[in-house]
Amino acid sequence: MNLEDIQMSDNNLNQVNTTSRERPSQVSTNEKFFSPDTDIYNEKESLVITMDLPGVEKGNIKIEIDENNVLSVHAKTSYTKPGNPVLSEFESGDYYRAISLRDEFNRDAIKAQFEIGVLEITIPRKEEVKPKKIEISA
Amino acid sequence: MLYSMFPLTEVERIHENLDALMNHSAFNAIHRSFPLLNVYETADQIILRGELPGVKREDISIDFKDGILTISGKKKSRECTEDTMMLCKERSDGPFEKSVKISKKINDSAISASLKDGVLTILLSKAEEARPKTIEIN
Repeated sequence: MNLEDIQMSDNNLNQVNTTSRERPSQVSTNEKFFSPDTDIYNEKESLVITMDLPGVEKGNIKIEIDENNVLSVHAKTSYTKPGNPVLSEFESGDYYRAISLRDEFNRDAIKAQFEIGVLEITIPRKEEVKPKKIEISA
Repeated sequence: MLYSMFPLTEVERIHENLDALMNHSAFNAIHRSFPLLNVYETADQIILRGELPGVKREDISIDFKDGILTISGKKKSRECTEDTMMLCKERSDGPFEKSVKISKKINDSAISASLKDGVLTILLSKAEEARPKTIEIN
């Protein structure tokens, strides 16, 4: 079984075996972030990215795309501790994820929506550049 | 229809393959189910907090019977068409059910639940006899 086979079989699973809380990612040496569970849909007209960001308020999500077409999402959770912990399956912590995009997308037309704890980013493809006729000047 | 099959750059694809390999069930002994739950206790209440991003209010059922609290429902993902290609699938979807045993006696008529930004909070008030009592010295 090679890497490609494992990749394909995982894509068919409905219930994934690990969650974002088990996959911390290091961004800078001093801070630890969680990588949010993400689905990426390659549609005909656009790329659609959906990310689970529970416990985050809309105003605490920062989405950026830099000059190298790297799209990054940084989100802060707003959990407080309401009592003595008896069971802890998730910790408080911030989210970070970066995705590198190819040149074929229209970076000025990226749209984002946040509802019921899920961030949905839609990145349309550039329209095909139409051939242009060039006239020879008289 | 001619459109790019792999809009993510090579680095991202290698990263995705490595992630899929590491997340494959053979590599993870611990499997945590959806939703992740935290339980807290105060003198008067048991507070349960669950991360349920992407689950609508009408798709969640909460039951409390014989001291067992059960959260069940279904999480839906974005619909795929025949033109859709999934490049990354980390978010779980489908039906879920999870139960927690509440060891303190609860006042059944004082249980409330709220849902905000993908976080479910359930407040269970302890019955009188389960609350700590201070004993005065005569």
